[in-house]
Amino acid sequence: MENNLSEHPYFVRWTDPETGVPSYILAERVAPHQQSFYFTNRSLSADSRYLWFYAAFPPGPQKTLGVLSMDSQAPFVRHYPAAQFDDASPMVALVGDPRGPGCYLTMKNKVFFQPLEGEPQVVCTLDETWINGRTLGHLATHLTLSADRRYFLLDGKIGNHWWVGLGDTQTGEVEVLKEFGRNYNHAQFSPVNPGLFSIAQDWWIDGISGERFPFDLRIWLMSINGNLFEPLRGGDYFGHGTQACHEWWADDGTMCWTDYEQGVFEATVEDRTAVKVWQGPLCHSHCDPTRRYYCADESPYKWAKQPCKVLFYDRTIGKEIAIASGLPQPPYPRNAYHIDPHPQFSADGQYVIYTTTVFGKVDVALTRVEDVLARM
Amino acid sequence: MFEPERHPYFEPWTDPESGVISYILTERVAAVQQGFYFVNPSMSADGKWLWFYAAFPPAEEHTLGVVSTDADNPEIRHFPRAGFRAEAPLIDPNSKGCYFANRSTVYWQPVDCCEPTPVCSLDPDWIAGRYQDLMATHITLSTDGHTLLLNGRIGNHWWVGLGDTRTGKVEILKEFGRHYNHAQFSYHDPDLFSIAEDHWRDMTSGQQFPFEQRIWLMRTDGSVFEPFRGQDYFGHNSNVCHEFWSKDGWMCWADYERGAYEGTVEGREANCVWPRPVCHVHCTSQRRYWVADQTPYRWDEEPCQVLFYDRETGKEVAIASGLPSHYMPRRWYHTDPHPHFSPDDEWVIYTTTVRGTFDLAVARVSDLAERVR
Repeated sequence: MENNLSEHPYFVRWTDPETGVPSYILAERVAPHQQSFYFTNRSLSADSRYLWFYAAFPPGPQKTLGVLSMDSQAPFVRHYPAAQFDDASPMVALVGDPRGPGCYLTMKNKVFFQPLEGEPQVVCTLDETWINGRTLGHLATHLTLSADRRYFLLDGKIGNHWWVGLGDTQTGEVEVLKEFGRNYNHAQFSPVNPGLFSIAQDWWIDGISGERFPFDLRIWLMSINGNLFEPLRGGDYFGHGTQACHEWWADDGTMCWTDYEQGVFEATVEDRTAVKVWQGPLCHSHCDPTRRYYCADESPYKWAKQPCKVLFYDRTIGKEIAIASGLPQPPYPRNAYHIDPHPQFSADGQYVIYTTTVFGKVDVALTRVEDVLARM
Repeated sequence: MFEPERHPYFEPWTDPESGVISYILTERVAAVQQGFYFVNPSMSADGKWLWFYAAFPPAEEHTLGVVSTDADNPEIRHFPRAGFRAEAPLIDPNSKGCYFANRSTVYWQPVDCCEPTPVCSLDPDWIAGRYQDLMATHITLSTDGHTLLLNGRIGNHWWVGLGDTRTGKVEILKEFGRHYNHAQFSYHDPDLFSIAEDHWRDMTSGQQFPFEQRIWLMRTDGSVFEPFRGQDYFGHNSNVCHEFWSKDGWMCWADYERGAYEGTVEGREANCVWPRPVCHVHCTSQRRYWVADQTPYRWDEEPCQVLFYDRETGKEVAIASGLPSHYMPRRWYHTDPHPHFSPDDEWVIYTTTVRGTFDLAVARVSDLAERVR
């Protein structure tokens, strides 16, 4: 396979005018809106063969899946209109997945697998009897798989409360682990401990009254056997001295997060000490497998006032550089499709993948880490 | 003039029992191609376009598709941007586009362009972050062409309102503590509309509540809100459901067990037109010819029929005597045949499953009329 971005016919090179960092923007279209995955779930398959993305048709409210072959000698791009997913649920299948290359997603009360070719296949189902006619929200904020690859971690809303559960990849059954009277979401399996996951408190608007409630302690840890449910750091009271949010697991099992004002932090599950990595303000961050290199957007939440940046950081030398120094506002409200750049590293640490608006549309972009490092 | 016999995108299908010929749209833009819900015709008023719902199972959302009826200039289009829930679309009486709704906005999809344009929106301050679902069961337009009748759910209750096509504003007429939907402007009286009580599941508890009096009348000035026939108590002495306005201003409905009925707003009669079990019914402008499906609600037990009836001769014929059930649950896309007449009364349009997929089909009324003479 020839994985050469500069020779791939479906990418257009774009160079940041301030820093000279090149990005490669997917210009071949299957939809007017093409967006990279939410940063916790990688858009690029671990073998770097397939780039998956969200495809939407504004003002149509739903997002569907698209995929690109990264092979510059055998390029293709496909759209899967039947793979219409909820929230940011898609998760690219891991290398060695028995179903082959593809992407998991949730629709209604089911987890599906979208293969490269063919129709979505049902993987597991939340029992209709348990749903009992109540209004069901999403089945997962973003799917993650346990380190032993047995369970999908699911989280959702039912009626006017929330739940977390496990989708068994072998039996197809969903077990509800716990129900919550407030909004918990963004559940993510630890990549190293098959029994451990994080789950986030989040703000919510009561569906009936419209009253808005804040969250207090963002990051919680739970175990699948039910013997653990506690905040990662009980002292981090959101809005009262910290703004810890947007957490993810590093590949080595370190918990990482972004404090909107103070910056990027990390802590081990064992001692919970918050180690500051990168001075903020920052919005969404992510790290490469070594935790040396970081990327972030700053800030789609301020897009109405100023362009949004996509940044790269080397913690060893303490330097940062803009991959995109000023993304213009998206052509439609970001809330409609959660259009944030959400930069993320590929599994091999060779690419930063993000969503760009420099062409006046919503597009997927890749930047080679080596190109960034050459300019630091 | 629509000549499906010559149209390259349609194939004839002959019912094995009755010999009635239907023409099925076999050119595809989507895996599911479905006729409109019966209260809103699938065919444009000028007869040049057949619109349909397009879906890609198991994806939940519908989108719009359209096919030209001109056999010499066949064309089929898919509008992936025109995504909608429920049965909302309404073909503009000018035949140049189609209204649909998603989130809190009604849009207009031109027949000759890919970009829909917003028409009117609910005020975000009124929504105020509450759970908001549905802008219309099926959009209808006032006789003056300026006002869209809308109904939906907000939080744990329901509303009906008017969308102004000129100002883009939506005025809430009334909110309900129980489920009202299927609001439909009268074709005859510009201020009058019907609205249906319907069953519902409480979103929090899942408890199911039945409806009692199905058909209600309301006026846009707020002066009327009353059951069409207060004595018709659903499930107790009637099974009144699936109402629609005839072109000449009669209220018509199906009683699941007793048949098709009609009554005037003034007299509130219940004239039984077609005495047989039926599910969804529809009639021509002068109410002579009727169509029905019977019944998608028992599809798992027996094939579903699509029937045609002449009230003057009292004879009926099957357009489709046994539509097979489908692997997909019908509630996914509300895939009932929903037969209905075109605006010019020349065609019956319905959704068929005879090819093992959900397809749009048409049958010529003159052929059907000949068989029930």
